[in-house]
Amino acid sequence: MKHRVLVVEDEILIALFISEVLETAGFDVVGPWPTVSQALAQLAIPDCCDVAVLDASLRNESAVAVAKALVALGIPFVVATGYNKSQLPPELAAAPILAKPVNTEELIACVRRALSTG
Amino acid sequence: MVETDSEPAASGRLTRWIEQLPLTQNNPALGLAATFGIFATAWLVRAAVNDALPPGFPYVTFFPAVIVTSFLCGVRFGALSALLCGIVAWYYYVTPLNSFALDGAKVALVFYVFVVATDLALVHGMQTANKQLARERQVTRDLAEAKERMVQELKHRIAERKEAADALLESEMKMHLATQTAGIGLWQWHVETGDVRWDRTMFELYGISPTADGSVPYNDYIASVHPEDAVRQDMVLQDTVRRCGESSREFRILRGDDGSVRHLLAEEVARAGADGKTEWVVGTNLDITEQKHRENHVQMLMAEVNHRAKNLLGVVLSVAHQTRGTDHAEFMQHFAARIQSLAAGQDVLVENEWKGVQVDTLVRAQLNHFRDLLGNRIALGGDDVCLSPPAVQTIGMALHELATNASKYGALSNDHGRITITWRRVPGADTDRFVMTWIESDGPPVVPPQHKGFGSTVTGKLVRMSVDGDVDTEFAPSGFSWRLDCPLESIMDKEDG
Repeated sequence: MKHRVLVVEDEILIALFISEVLETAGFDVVGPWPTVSQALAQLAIPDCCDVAVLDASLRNESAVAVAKALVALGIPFVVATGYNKSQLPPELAAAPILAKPVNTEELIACVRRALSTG
Repeated sequence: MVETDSEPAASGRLTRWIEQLPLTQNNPALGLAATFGIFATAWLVRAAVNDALPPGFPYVTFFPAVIVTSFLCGVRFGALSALLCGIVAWYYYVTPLNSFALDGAKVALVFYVFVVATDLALVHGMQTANKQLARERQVTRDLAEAKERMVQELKHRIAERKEAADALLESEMKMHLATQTAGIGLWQWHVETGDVRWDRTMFELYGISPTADGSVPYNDYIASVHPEDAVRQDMVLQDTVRRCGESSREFRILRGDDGSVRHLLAEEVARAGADGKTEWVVGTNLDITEQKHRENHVQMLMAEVNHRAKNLLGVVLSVAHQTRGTDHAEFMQHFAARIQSLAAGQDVLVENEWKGVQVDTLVRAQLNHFRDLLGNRIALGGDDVCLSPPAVQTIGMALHELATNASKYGALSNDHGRITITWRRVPGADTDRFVMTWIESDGPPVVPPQHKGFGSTVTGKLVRMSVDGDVDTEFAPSGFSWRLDCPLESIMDKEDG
């Protein structure tokens, strides 16, 4: 069975790019969703995904709420961001960081690692 | 000398001369010589007048000699003179003449001794009194002189003090003027009494009405410091007092008048008292709120620029990844055109200082390649709408893709096709909406594409997801049309209201 990856990213071009890369690599993409509320609505559906790729800021809103929901559900996730780790709130800095601009191989490796450890 | 100046000159001289008697008191040799001189003179005169005198005046010249000698040379030489005169008078002029016989001379000798002893006693008493008087007069003169010197010294000192005070006052005024102009508040704190004094600028900085003497209780000062900073400021100040050193602080205050938060920079230095412990602390306050805001703004801009640059690189990478081409040259052509479109969007944003861009401005920027056609084959117009930076990028890219398709397959691929671009605000029940249309006409026969490329992703999915809107694309026989309908708030610049 294909693993399902929730993509939360407000820059749609990047979201579409990440989605395409993940689909090509054999994942099912859930989303992508560009806002905190849409991501939380998705997470309210039981067993919606196995892993998540989360942008640190979503339309000027911090993704901390989404990160907390993911932690509560026990869903592993990686944070894709252009910010430095030191600039991130602790809830996000605790997760594996995928530096933007996103490298396709790194993205796939990062998601696979998150799945195996989570 | 006040006293002598008021006396007649001759009388003054006589007084001074008498005061110096006896004249030879410091010169015994001269005294001795004068004694013998006067004695000899008296003897000679006595001898010369001997025949003219009736008998019975043996001492007539010797009494004056003894008085004058003791007067001029002191009582000791007077006594010597009395002895010499007595012996000579006894031998030559007291009967029996030319002998030291006592018989018949006793009365004359006793008389002589009595008279000269009285004379000497009187002269001695007078001279002692005279010396005492002279000493007292000297003391008076010294006192007068000392008083005069003191008066002069005082005058001099007062003049100096006044000069110093004037200079101090002037420098204080200059400093006050300078600090006031620079907005620097000055304060001093007497540690033991807790008495804090402010200058006028301090009261202005803190938004408190000035007190008559500028005094502010230390606790009142700490109370106007921002609650989050107060403990720390008190600690630093107390430490400065303990070290008797200097300190520099940055802290926030809540202004007394409007309660607004201001950032202050403070420098202070402790001054030790006689016991070496801090007696005073003097310091300055400067309002650096504007500077602080500028710093924060620059930091925010730097962080934002960094974030946007990385985001843009991500977008470029996505575009590169999703741009198709049958060969490298075609890929590069499509890719470069899309990057140029992104750059055009950046340009208009920068020109508007990232504060939002008018739709009209964006459309003209994205259709720059076809600027010759604007106003004739391309008609555009709409409401006054200011787009947010993300909307500028999304709608800008969509416009680029629409124009590219039009020039390849649509209304701009022949020489008479037309495009009408419109946008407007539409009042809605809950929220106002933004509707934008791209309608082509008079182009070549419309053929719907067989497969959807990146261009249709941009004009479709990208726009739909980015601005939470509906997109309708229609390949009608009369011409291609594109219509965006989205909430106004999802594309409008927030600062635009």
